[in-house]
Amino acid sequence: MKFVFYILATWTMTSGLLAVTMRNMMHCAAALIAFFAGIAGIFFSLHADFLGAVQVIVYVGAIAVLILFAIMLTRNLTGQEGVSPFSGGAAWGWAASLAVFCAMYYSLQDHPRCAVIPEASPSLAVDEIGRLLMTRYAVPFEVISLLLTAALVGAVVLALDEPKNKPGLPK
Amino acid sequence: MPTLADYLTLAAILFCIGLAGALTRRNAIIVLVGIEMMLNAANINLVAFWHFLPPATGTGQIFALFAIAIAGAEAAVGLALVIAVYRHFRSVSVEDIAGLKG
Amino acid sequence: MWKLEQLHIFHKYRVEICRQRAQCFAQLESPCGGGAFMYEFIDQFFVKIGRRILEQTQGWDPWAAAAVSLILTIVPILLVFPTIFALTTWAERKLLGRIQNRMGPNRVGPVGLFQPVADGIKTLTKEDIVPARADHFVHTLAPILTVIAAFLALTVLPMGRNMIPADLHIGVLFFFAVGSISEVAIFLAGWSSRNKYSLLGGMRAIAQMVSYEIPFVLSALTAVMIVGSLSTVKIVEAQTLGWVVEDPVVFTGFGERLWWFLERVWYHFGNHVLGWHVFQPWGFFGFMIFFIAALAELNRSPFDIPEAESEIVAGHHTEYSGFKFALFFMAEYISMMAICGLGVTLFLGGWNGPKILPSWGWFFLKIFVLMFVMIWVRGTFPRVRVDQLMGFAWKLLLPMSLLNIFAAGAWHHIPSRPLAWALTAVFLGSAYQILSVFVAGRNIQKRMYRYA
Repeated sequence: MKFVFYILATWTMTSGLLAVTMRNMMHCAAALIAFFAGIAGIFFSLHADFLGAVQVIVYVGAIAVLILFAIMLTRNLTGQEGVSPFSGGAAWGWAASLAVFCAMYYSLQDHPRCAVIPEASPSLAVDEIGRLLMTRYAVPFEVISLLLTAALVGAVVLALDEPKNKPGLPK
Repeated sequence: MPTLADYLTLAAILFCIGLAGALTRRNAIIVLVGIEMMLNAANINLVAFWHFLPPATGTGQIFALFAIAIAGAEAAVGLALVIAVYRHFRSVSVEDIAGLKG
Repeated sequence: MWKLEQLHIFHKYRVEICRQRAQCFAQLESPCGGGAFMYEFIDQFFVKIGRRILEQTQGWDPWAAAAVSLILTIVPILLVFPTIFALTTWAERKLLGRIQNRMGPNRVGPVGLFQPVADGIKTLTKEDIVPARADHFVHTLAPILTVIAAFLALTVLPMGRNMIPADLHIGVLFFFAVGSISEVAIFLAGWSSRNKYSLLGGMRAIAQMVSYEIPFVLSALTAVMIVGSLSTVKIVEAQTLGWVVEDPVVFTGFGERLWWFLERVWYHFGNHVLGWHVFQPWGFFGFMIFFIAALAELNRSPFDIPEAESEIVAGHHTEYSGFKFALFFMAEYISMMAICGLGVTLFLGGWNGPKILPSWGWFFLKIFVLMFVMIWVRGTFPRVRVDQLMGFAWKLLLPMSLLNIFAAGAWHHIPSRPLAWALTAVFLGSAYQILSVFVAGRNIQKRMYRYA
């Protein structure tokens, strides 16, 4: 089990780092797909099968495709020649994320509940998830569906063509 | 058996990689990618808590499911915004989109 | 006096014999009981061989035992499906040839049967050309990903009674998850070739597959709803009716015997055929939506816009040659089998069927029938335009599949089966009529056929 965990951890960390550091956007997207698949693997290793399958369907099948479409539609694969893909104050960003990691790692250390290993690995059947969604979590479920509908309409409105008589900023 | 701490550390590392991506890149699409990675890392936490801390009532998984749905909505709207911005400014670099008037 | 008693005993004896025989027949569930043991033997032949081999591994190192069981799962898939793939390519060319009034392949071997072998040797010995400006890594990765996705999709299909590579409790969901990987792989293939036709093909493919994914999944959802499980094994097992024959206590004469036999045949047919989901209104419409969406998911004619030869050469595999092209070709056909297999599992009763064929025989027969229909469609229909494609998906298939889910819910809650059947059939039929007028317009002209 430890072996599987280390493979998955290396896989997700490598692909995640590649996804945010590579210059070519399409390579970033490919690395991102590998990252999403690795996360699905982590869910499987935690016995959350349903969530793993949902992760693959939603992230690899939908969000990665959306990102690929956005990359193709904006036609800016590698950025301008000679300009770094990182913004001016990138060092501060790295420092900030390192600081956040140190803070989280520090708070994780020596926490008594972190060392607990459950006697039996839990499992949640799909029909149990469905029942929970329809009973205890019915209200959040409905709110989420409203949110998704609103997002759908909003995305369509945003991505619609601008009217012709209103030209964009001259570049 | 990996412990809860292992999973939480992994999630923290992935979260920080995503954060770094969101903070350091010029391209708005990669900024969105970074945000998606942070949401994924948070989901690992939720599922790990569900797996390791009894009683396993399914709350962690359902919460992660909601987080995935919200991430989907966020990606759709975010990328539509990026495309709208690109149409307007002919650029997706976050440094070029600094002007409020347009 | 003793005579009467003797008669009574004799009568009791006869009754007992009849009951035993009837029970025996009922257990065997076969109208011609004598062959039932033989049937059981043939039906479970491969399962038993597998179990026998696994029994040998008891007491081995657990890793070795796991490896043996893995090999037992993987090797049959890798043997059977590529063989069927080879035969399918031959059959498709032959059938298309007959539809178009030509001979089809007829040079290599008897009736051209060895054509796939010749093709295989040709593709394997051809030069593997990678365009100079292509992205080498992604260009190589894409065909491998599509093949992996296609083979993974096969693993959740129950190919016979007790014959399933991996019985996951999220089987149907797993199938769709794997399908979404192949979408991305096709797009990566189109992008990495650095060719405008490839890129156009990739973009077309992904737009089409994302649009048709929605009715595809929603139509499959009805079967999942009715059965109440995502496991493909449970879905197949649910597609039988629990009809039980009341056996007569005593047979008197030939007529009753014949009646009993015919009744038994009818009940057998009902149990193993009429329970298929496709014989219920929601199942029929679900299967139709599923099949049409499957054609689009597979980029097959009449939805072969992504690889339209007359417009964009060959779409996403324009720049592929040799072995990589063969991989794409194989992935296409393997996923065709997998999707047909899912359609069979969800709507056509899976391996259920009258016991004149073994269960795996029924499964593969049904797959072959569906694939034949796909080839037939390819030989018959012209390619649709992009606007027709999108309009069809969003204006007809999507609302129909949503209404179909509603109908399935109604089916589940109406207690009387005939009433539920009639109501959902009327509902779905009128919905289809109204929607098709909405999509196709009011003045559909009567088609004129002219025979050449």
